[in-house]
Amino acid sequence: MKFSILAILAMGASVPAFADWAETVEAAKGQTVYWNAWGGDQRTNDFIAWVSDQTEELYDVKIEQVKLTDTAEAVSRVISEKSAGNLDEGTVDMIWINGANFLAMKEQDLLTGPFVEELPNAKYLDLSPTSAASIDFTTPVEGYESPWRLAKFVFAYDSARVSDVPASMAEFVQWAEAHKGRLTHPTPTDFMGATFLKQALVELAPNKDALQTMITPESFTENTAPLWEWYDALRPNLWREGQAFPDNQSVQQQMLNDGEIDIALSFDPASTASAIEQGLLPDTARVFVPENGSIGNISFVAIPFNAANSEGAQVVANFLLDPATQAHMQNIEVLGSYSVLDPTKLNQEEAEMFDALPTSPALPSVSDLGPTLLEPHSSWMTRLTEEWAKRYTN
Amino acid sequence: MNIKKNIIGIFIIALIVPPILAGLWIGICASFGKFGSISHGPVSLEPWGVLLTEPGFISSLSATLISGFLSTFFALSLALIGCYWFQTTYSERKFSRFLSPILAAPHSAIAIGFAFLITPSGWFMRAFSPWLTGFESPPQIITSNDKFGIALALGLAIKELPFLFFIAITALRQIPLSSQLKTAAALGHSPKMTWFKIIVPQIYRRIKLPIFIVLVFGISNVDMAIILGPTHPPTLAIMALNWFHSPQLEDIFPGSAAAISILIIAILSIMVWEIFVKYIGKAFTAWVVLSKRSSSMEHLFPIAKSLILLIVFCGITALLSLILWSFAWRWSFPNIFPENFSIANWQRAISNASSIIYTSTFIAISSATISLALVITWLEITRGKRLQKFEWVFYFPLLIPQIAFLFGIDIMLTHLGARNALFNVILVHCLFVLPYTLITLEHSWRNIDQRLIKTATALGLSPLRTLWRVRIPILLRPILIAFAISISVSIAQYLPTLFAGGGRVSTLTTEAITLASGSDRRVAGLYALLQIMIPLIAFTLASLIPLWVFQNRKDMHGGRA
Amino acid sequence: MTLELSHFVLKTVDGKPLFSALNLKIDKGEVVTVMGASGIGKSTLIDAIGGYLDPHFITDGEAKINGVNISDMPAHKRKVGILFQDANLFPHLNVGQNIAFGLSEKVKGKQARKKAVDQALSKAGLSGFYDRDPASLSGGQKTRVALMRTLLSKPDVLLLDEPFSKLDPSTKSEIRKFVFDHIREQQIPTLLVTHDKEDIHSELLELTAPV
Repeated sequence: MKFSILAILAMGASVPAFADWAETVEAAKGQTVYWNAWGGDQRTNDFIAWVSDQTEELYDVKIEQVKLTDTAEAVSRVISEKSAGNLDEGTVDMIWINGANFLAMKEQDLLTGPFVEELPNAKYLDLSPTSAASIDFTTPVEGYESPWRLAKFVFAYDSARVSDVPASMAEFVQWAEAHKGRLTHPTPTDFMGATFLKQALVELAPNKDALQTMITPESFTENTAPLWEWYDALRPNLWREGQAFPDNQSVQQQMLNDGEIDIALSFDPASTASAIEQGLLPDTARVFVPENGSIGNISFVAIPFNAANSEGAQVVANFLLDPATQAHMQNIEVLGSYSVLDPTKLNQEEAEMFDALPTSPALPSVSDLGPTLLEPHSSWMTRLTEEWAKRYTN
Repeated sequence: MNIKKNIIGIFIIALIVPPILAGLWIGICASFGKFGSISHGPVSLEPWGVLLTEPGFISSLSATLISGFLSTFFALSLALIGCYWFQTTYSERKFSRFLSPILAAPHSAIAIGFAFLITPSGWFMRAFSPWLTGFESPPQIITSNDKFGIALALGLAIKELPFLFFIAITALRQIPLSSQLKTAAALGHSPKMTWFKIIVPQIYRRIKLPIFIVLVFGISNVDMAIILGPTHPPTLAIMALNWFHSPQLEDIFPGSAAAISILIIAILSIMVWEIFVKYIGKAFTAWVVLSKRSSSMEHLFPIAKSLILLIVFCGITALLSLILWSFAWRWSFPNIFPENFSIANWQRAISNASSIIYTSTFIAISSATISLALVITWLEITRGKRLQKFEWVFYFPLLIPQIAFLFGIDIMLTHLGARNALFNVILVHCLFVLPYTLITLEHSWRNIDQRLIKTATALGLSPLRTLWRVRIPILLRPILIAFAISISVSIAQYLPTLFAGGGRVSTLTTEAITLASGSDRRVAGLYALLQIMIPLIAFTLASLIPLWVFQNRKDMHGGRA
Repeated sequence: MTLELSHFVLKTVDGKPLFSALNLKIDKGEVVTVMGASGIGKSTLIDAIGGYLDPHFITDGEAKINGVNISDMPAHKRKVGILFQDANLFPHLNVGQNIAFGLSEKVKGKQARKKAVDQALSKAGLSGFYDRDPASLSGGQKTRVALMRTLLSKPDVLLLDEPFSKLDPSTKSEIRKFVFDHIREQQIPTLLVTHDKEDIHSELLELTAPV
């Protein structure tokens, strides 16, 4: 297995698409890339370690994962370096980034770019202006971050404990009433907690188009009124009566595993299957999605403007987009994260690597997942979490 | 010669005080809206406004105070009364065998284990379910992460009880205990009442400094609060940390305000504690001189004894649960033991954690070595000198909430161009390691039998040679113990590693805390276990090396140290 | 008030007696002096009667106070007052508080207690010393305070364990007189252990090695 991946990668590496790229690869030799990535998931950490082994062998580029509890730590690091006048020896080479953090960095000119189109493997991506790889939370990517894994909002539950699952966000109210204290969501200061609210907002907002534009006080009041009404009805029946919340989805998954609650949520459709694989959820755990679909987006890597090992970071970003890497990543036994590549751009040999991957009953098919709903404009998330904190913190 | 010594002494003090003051100053400025290029103007109260109007600020404040005061009061009263029991019935060895692992374990490791014990699906509940409780799924009760910070207070108490206990025992050695107990008994007072009325006040006076350290840590800690504390809203220290780590640069301001507010709260808390103790102390003495020979107070002793046993039991069980988790594959509610075991966690850890173990050990050994060298230098040059009076400044870093100055120190290091994260971490660790090196070594160093030193000098040895040939070999045991304690202190540092390392330096502790907010209790448990193993190895070596070096020297065992 | 020892002997745990069996009876106001070679167990005898015997020793025979066997009684219930070589004033209490700590709890009321302590202080020639730090007193003053403290606890028996041995020779006889005068006044049966011949007050008993 390993041999074949290396063989394919070596082929790819031997035909550089751009002359510039050869220079980048040359400059990257011997670099160590400090990849700042949320470290709460052991499998992701293991995958990053695997990537490091591969890039070291192929390109002489090592990866040192800086495990974050919150991606914002890396952002604030870059900010403080900038304010201290460190313009070319930055300690953060690459960040696993999304949404608000990306917007913050892009707005403050803290990123290298555009660089994505220069990556040879960018040819496998759908980079049309409205594609998921081109828009991160309604913020145009414009080549400042490179996709690496697909995220789609799903719920997990234990089929041995629960047989009925809510078909829509609205139905969660009745469900919670019938299963008092068995539902919760991560605190909305956490990205996943905010996504839970956003998923409900997308379903309940009267004027869905307004969600795709910059927020205004009027559109906020109008579109969130049904959301708060829904939440007021839901909250008393939440775990600990909605007075306390898990820190993030990993803690929530552990609570599902412990049987403290019945539903967990995730931005990775394969996470349940891989958690079962690792003994972190019971074999009977399954995935469900609201019938009308769920929010989806892509996880990216970005390179700070002052990264000391910027070339190495580009080599890693490119490696992550290689079909063999993506197929390895999608393997349920490895990471089980869905590929970000456009399947229509793969040749037959490349497509077969994906077809050959093992399956699992807890792994939803693409059709199980339903339609992908668009993320609201990032200004909504900030306001939404602020308003939630104001209303429900005491 | 004297001037040279004074200069060295002042230099050592200068390594500690100015960085902290500068760190505090940067924090205070930022809390008033002044921070480099993004300043709000000369002085702005806006950050304080943001802090005070933050949703849940009052709840956050009260959880902060409750966890700080409750844990300190609880651990202290149990330690003070507990010494009685220790002194009269249990032999030192027997009891300290149970306390040592808790003392050696970092706060975060205890917190990870304790969280599993008390959570509704935890070990305690599993022990009684479903056969007694009837619970097939975990009950809807609030145990860990409660709003008031009680779980946090208990977690802190588990960790602080052994610390205060050993400190109290040390203080006890300076009190002519048996003659005082005899005298009071001859006056008709029972031993328990004598303990309460006569001995406890004398211990208290001697251990004020450690008590304040515990109180400040209780109020400002992050390591345990992340795992056991309230989440919505969190304690003030976590609130400050979240702001410091926010992607919005502006959040540095309310973050600094929160950090400085913790400093103010810590100062006020020490004052309140002092006033409270003074007031209580007066009433207490008035009661003591009434000299009632018996009182219902005696019933406190068996209660305290059971509480101590309970707390120590929790600590030990918490550590045991970590071992089980690290070898578990699946372990679901309500099973009291894992369904199946696996060494997969360890196999994976050996490949992933080896560099982290290496980094942690390297940092620990480096900072312990630097601290030891500084402490020995300090003790040597201040022998019989007025400079000794300034020794309290070494405890500065422990008496000021870490979060109030670490951000500033981080900014300062960046400005000074100190960009080697590992180096910065080692330096900042020294600030927190050094006071413990000093506190453990000071007593035996200063009380060495002076006749030996005089004999050496009379034989013509220079002071430096006396140090190398006589003092250090004779004090090898206490030196190694101080070194081991320094290592355990360094291993446990979380916030200093996070700030000085800029997140780039992963140690077992940063890793364990990150994993504690993840989904895999097995790996979190494993890292917590690794956290404990390094200090334990250090302590074992510290006790074995002197035995081996001095195997034929009877007078070098026991006693002296 | 009496202290009676009959066939009283101290043994080490392996059964070796320290001295030949003691028989004595001390009545009201009597002082019996016990002397003996050093190491023969004089202080251990005090410990045994007071109730602090080191677990390495055991007793044989009977010790009675007012006719009651005290061997199973906890130290603080025996009503045995002791003056040690050191005054053992509690360092964290002032002089008055130290005396009050001994004062019988039967004396009730703040005023009454304060008065009793003040009286004791003036008897000891230390009027106005109530608020003084015990560390600031001379050896003789400390012994006087310790005696007052003990007397106010109304003991049935008094044991004196070489209480004058550490005093300055110039004040020794004065303090000795002070102590014995007060014992006589209060009529307490007293056992004095010493190796200073000048301490001998009345009846003398030599501890001798067992036969």
